[in-house]
Amino acid sequence: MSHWTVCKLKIKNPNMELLKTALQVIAQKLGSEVVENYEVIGYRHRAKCPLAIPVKLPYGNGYGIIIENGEIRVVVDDHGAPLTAEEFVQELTQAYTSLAIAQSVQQLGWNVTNVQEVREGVLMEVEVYA
Amino acid sequence: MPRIRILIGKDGKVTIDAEGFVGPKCLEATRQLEELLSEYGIRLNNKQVHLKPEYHQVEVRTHERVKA
Repeated sequence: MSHWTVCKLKIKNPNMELLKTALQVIAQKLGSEVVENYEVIGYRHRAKCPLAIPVKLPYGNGYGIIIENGEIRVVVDDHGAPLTAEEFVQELTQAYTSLAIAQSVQQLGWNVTNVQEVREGVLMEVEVYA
Repeated sequence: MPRIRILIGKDGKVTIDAEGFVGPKCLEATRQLEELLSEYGIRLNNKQVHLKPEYHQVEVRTHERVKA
């Protein structure tokens, strides 16, 4: 059985550079890279994606990102994949949010003093200059 | 030094814990951060705010006169 899955992120109108950087974090974990204008295929489905992470899968060729009306969707045939579509969405949301917070903190003139992975997620400590 | 600890959960949920602030400055700091995050497409929905006792403290500034 195969699973062509489309999963939506809560983030809307993303910063494309930041999104690409967040994808690079995941691509590195998967031993791949981020590519542009890639056709993601799966069982009886295919989708043209502006950003994607090619991964050899039993019924597919990677994870793709589609952006429509500012909404981000992940497409993948996740049968036998290292990350299910939902896990991929979670990792991408977390990576993008962490990067956005780090950039926002810098823009505010504050200082990130520590970043660590904890059981619940990623913990950032920030000194605030009021 | 006022500081904030930000936990980005595996589901993307953001929890902000402010320490060392006196009075409502903690809310001002988190509001500034929230505003910038919205520019990146991140909206902190279902916001729950738990105020600590420090929120109700008043900042006291002392001015000492220096004799010439």
